[in-house]
Amino acid sequence: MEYEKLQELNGTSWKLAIKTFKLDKKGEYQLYSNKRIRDFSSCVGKTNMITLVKSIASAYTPPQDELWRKNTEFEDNLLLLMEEKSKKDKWLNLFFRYLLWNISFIDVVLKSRQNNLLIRTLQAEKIDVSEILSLLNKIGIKEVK
Amino acid sequence: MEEEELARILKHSYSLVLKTKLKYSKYKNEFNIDSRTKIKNLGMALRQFDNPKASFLHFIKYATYSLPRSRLHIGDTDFLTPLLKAIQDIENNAQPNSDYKHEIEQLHYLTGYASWTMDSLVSIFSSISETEINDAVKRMLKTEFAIINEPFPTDINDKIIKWYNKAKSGTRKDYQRRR
Repeated sequence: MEYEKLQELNGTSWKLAIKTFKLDKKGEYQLYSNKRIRDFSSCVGKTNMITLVKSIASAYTPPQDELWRKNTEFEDNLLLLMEEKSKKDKWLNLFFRYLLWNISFIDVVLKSRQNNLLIRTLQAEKIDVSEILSLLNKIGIKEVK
Repeated sequence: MEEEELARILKHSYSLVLKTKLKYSKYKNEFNIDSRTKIKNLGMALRQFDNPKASFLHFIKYATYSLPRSRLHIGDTDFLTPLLKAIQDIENNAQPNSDYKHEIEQLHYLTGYASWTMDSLVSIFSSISETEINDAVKRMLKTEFAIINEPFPTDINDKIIKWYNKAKSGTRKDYQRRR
């Protein structure tokens, strides 16, 4: 894969990784289910990939008082991306790998309050730091400045 | 590879090693490093793509994935920070319009040197008596740095001994606490 294409893939994986974080009623962030993301990734390469992904997403129905758990924004964004790249299995497989790595990294960094490590990593990967920080702030994660 | 570059890589490799968690087993009288395999495996990430610049980026991705997962460990075993500093240094010294082949070679040297150093130090600490350790570490550093015409790195030597003492005294404290 060419560098520019990998760079675009990586940027997309960062933006979507942030969308897997959601604040609960107590104002603490919760992560989208890692298992469900792995389920989505296992659909890559299948002829009915989009139908399968839609059925996995719709199968999850949290109880009425826990509706905040349903992260439709992330699911919708992921679905759009998978439709757009439906013929690019290699791209999607790598995208899912980076997505899971980024989620896990953001989680560790937030829990350990190592904001400078996140910023240093984004800089090393040539990712727009201000854009990522503003996305984090947008979903209510104010710890990273 | 220029001598100056090798010297920089060698120093970065020690910064990386000294951020890992050295553990001492009093029962086995043996030392070990928790993240040894993680650092050794970093080099594999450089073989993922034919395009060197893409491999360089993938190496950074893989390194963040290899970060210790536990938030309890991130503070004192944060080997990602010295690794990112080394990466930044390599990029800052890259030729304009570099195709990154040379930068990839430097990352290979960095992970290779860090792996060898970890193996050597663990072997020194585990196999010889406490009174001989200081001399053995000095001898190793003196030989490595003299080859590339660099002065003896007193700071690195002191940090290695401190790292060793911390691992040993940590075990003593744990042992006393358990009793």
